[in-house]
Amino acid sequence: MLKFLVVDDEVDVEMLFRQHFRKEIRSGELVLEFAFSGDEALQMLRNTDPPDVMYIFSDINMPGMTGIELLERVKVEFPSIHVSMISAYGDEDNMRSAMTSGAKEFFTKPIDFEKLKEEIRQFSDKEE
Amino acid sequence: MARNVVELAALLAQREAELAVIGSVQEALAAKRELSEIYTLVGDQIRDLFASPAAGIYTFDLETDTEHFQYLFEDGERVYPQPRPLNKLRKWIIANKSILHVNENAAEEILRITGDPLSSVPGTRLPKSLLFVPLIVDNEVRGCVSLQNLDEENAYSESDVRLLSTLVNSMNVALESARNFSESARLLAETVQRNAELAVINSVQRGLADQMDLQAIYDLVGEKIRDLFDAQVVVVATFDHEHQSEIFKYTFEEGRRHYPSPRRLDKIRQRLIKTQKMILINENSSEAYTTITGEAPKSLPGTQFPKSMIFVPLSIGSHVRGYVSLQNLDKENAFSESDVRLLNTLANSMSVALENARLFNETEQRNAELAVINSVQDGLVAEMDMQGIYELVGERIRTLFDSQVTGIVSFLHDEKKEHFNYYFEDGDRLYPSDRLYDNLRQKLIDERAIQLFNENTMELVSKINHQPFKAIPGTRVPQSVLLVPMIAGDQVRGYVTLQNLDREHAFSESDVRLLSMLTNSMSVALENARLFNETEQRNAELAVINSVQDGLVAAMDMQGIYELVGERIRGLFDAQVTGIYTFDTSRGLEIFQYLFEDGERLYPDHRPLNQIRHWLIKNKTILNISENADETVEKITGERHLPIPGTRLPKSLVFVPLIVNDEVRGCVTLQNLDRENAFSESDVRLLNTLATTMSVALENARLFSETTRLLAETEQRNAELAVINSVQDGLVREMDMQAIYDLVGERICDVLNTQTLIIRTFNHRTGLEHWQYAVEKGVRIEVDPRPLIWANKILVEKKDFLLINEKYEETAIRMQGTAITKGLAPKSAIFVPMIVGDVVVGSVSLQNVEREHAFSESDVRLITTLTNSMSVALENARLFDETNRLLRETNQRASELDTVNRISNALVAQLEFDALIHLVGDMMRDTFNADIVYLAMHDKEENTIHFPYYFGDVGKSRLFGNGITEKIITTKLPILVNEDIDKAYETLNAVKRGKTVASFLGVPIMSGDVAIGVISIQSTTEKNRFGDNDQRLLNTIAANVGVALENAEAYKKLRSALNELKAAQEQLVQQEKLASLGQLTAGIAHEIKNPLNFVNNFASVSLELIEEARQDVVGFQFSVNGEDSSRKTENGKLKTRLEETLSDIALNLKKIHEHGTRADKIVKGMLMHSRGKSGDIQKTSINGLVDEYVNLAYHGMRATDPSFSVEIKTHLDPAVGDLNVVPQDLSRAILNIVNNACYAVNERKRAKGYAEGVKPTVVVKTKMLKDSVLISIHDNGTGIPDHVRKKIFEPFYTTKPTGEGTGLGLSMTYDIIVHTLGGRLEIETMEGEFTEFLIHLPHAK
Repeated sequence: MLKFLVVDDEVDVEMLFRQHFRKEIRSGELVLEFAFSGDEALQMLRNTDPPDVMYIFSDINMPGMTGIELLERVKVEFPSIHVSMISAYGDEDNMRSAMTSGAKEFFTKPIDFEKLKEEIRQFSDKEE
Repeated sequence: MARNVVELAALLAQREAELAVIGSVQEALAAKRELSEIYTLVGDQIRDLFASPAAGIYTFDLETDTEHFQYLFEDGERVYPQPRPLNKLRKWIIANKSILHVNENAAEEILRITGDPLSSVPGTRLPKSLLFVPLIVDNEVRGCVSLQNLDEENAYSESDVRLLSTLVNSMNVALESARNFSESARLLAETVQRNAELAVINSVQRGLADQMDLQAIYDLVGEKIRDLFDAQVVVVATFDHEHQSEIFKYTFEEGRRHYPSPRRLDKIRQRLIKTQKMILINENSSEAYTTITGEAPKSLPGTQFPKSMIFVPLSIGSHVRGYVSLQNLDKENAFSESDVRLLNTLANSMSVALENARLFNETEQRNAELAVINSVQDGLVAEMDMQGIYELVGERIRTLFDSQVTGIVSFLHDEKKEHFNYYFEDGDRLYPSDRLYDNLRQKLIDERAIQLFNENTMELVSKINHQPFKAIPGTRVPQSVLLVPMIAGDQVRGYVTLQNLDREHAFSESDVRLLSMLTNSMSVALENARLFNETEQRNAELAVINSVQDGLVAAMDMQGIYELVGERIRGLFDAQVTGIYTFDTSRGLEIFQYLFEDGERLYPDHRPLNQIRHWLIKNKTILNISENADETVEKITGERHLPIPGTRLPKSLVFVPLIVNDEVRGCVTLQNLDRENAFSESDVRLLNTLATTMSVALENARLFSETTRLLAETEQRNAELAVINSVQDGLVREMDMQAIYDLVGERICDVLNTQTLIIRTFNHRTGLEHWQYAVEKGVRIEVDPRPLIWANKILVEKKDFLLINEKYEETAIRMQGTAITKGLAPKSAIFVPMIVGDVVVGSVSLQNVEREHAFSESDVRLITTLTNSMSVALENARLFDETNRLLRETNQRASELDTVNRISNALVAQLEFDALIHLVGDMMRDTFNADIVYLAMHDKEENTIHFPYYFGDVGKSRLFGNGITEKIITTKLPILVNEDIDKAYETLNAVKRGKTVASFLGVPIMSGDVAIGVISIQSTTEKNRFGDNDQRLLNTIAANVGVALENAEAYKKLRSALNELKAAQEQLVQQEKLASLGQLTAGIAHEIKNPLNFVNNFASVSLELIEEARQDVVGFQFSVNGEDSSRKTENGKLKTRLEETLSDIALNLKKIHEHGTRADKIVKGMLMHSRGKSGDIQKTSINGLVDEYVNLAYHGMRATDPSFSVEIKTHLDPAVGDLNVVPQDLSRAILNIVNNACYAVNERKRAKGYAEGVKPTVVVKTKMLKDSVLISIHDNGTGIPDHVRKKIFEPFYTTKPTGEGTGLGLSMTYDIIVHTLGGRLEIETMEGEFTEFLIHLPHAK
């Protein structure tokens, strides 16, 4: 079972993700957790030692800690966890700064869930 | 035998009686009774035996011829008379050594026997019967025993006589031995006492021998008395009669010494002084004290009132100098009679001893003082300096007193410091530095009194100083300190101090007295020394001053004074070289006014000022070189020291500058060629004083000669002035030029008695000279204008007078280059220029044909002055004429100007062309009172002429033709016709167009180079109606009209330009709005992506769900018949799932709608902006609006510059609520300001202007205030410099690079906040630190 963490300040993201991955969730292939700020995300990761989350999808533009900051701190504190960014700003600079900070992938908004599922599938295959 | 028996019996009885008496005497003797007791015993027994009412035992002191009553009984009682001289009766007894027995007529009988009437012992009666039996020892009558009966004669029988004489004889020996015994006992006691006294006295004497210190004697005697007597309190005190006080020299009480302060004399002491007798109180001391003094007892502070006390005065001569007192605190009758006696003796001894000691001390002290004074005097005689005296006195004092520290210190009052002239401590001479004096010294200065600390010195001094006592560095802290001020005049100049480091009470009263005496002596001596020095110096100075004064009185020249002073100085000082030099600083020379060297007066030539002289000039101070002269001079001057030629180099030298008015004019020098240190400090001082005195004197002398010179000059001037005055008086009256020439000419001829005088004026244009006044040999002549002569040409060029007093012809040739042309050449001549402003306008010349040197300098001066006066007068006359002319002209101009002004004002106010033309026309009519007025304008394009204004006639537009108006336009010249207009037309070759008029004036209206029209005024009736002035005025008006027309034209253009500009500006405003929209778009695009994300994805997931639902519906099988339970179960499952899916879809659609609405709102906002119009006022949530637009601004920035990063913080006060505003406007304002804030932090970041750990931050706050809502936007960006700060609200002002800003953002923002919303917009900023915009929006409460 794979556990993913989605970080976004928009609350509706949870509903959206849960619906898109309803089959996978129902079948128990994956577990989704949600955090609505960078701080909350870090808090959740620290709750279990070692953290059971394997992969984080994070928005970049959030009040308080930005997604990039979260990325950097996760890379320091939990280097084994993969992090991919999801942002409305799909420009070069934004992507580059995410990649140099250690992001695995970069997804733009509106989210292409097919791509996202493909990424998750690949990750699952590799894990197994 | 019987008789014998009887006789024997009687004899026996007598013998027994005798034996009884003798026995009792023996018994008494054996019992070592007092002699007086024995006499009493014997006396009583005799009285009993003889039954005598009166009995007496007397002893005689033959040496003093007195009798002592050892026993006397009379009238039934014992009496004790005082001893008395031996009377005749006693002397008879002594002489006859026999019994005296009188039984009858006692008085006569006694008188018969002794030759003296019977006298009774005082207080007794004369007896009727008496019996005297002598007491004879060693054949000498030592006394007698008597029986007396005062009442009866024949009281004593013969047998009584026999019995008494037998008894006395028997007793005599016993009595005698008893008397001897008693005497020896007395003597013994006395000896003991004497011994004690002697011991005391010896002690005192030893003390005296050992140390001639009064205090030591008091101490010694005090201690001795304390040993001898049973007293807890011993006091030795002296009286200070002057102050009515007692001074305690020795006080012992309660087992220790006390040192009470002096106190006023109490009644007991006063009584001691008055009576000079001791006071003894042995019982009931308090009452006794009260009886004596009349007041209640008071004990010394801290002591008890005693039970027994004795006060014995210390008397010297008839003066009570003090007292000794013993007091016993515990018991009465503590002091016996013998104690009293002994104490008296001791007191007497001590009085004498102390007096001796005092006298001795005083002598010693006088000697010491004399020695010190002598030392000082010796020092003075030996020409010691002050320091020498200090040393001498210091040493002297040190040997006199018991102190480890001896100091003589003087005060430097200005610096509040003390200077240690002499300081000796613990056997070492110390040299402490000057130091600030402390409060103790200040106290000394203020009180001018001795400061003595004998106890608790540290504590007391610390208290005075308000700080812990500090010893002079390198010294110890003293236990006893004595400071005696040195007073000169009424000032404390310093002090002498003694300090004992080891013990308290080191300094007695006498020490203080002696030291203060010495100090006074020294002060006086030092002051004398100082005064002596000063007097000497004053004398020398006075002598020099007198010399100089004498010299001056004797009308000596300066040299004389130098000689005099030089000689004087030479006499005063020990120098081979004496010099007085003056400096000529302008030529850099020194002049040897006086030089004396090696006994010879020298006269060296002037020589350039050397470095020493320059040093003096620069430093203005004394140069005193007393050692190593060569090197020192070299060091000062930087060059080798060279002697004045013909002189030697000195070993000691002193230069004193002669200073006048703060300027070194010279110097006085003393030099000793043979030895160093030749000149003492006082020499230098004296020389300096002399130099100063001489400087003044020399300046006075110089001033005197200067004054004399000036006086002579003044007299001359007065004479000249008289002439000048008379000329000037005349000149003031005359305003006619010729009259002025005549006046001056005549006056000069009068005064100078000259033969030839010419006053000429020059016409520089023509090069001619005009002879305005000419006298030759006393005759007025007239000469035609002619070219300037050579001398005048020189005057014109040089602008200075020309005086030729000899060799006239040669000079003239030399100066002009050619020979003189005509007439007899003068021998002397003077030419003086008349100058007005900077121009030589003429000359006055005098000539003398007879002699050379005819004209003196004062003549020149006088003529020059007169010429100058004349120049001024002439210029005044000219100016007067000119002024009158100008005044007239000015008046005319003023009225013209007034008209012009009126018209110009009107013109300026009128910019409409047509209105302008009418205005001008009407004004022409008013101003010139003309009956025809027109304005013609030339339309070049259509080549027509038309008349926008025509009064008095009809003016129709016409083609440009050949009329007079056209002539004016063509020629651009005015035409004035005052008569015969027809002829004028002819002359002008013009066609007549309008009415025939008497006078015509027309001037062109010029625009730049072109005549664009004509103004004309005409009179139909009057000829010569218009003059030059009218023409000029009309010209001016026309020019004004031209300008006004141009202005009108320009105004027209300006208006259209303005309209264009407005359009352009509006476009720009729109652009600005679009620009902000552009910025917004990016932000909005991002904002819109979020809802879009949801809309898209919810939609797509919904599609999936619907597909699932559809499949579920397909899977849903309805049973036709029967109940298939498994089917039923499957259908139930499907139904549940289907319902779930449908509710999900419904939820999704709700979300899609929600986010669609969100996107719509964002787009609406954008549209609102893009419309660019102001909206309506509506109730708006300020916090919501601020939050939204801050966010938009951020995203806008973020979108255009991805590298942009800033922390935006918002603190929104919930109390702010809603306000009635135009939301579009306010949002635009906030957007602008936040954009600028972001821009500013970005700029600072880009310039790497942030310190480590500081983030670019924008803080937006709202706050509900009393009268307003505050929206503040604070950024920590680049800040705004002052010069920019003033302009940022101006439209089109921008600091952003070209293309990045329109320069309208803040201008619009300001407009919105202040004008549209009625609020305030403020900025606080610091360059390089922060900027904060504060928006205040009013709110209705």
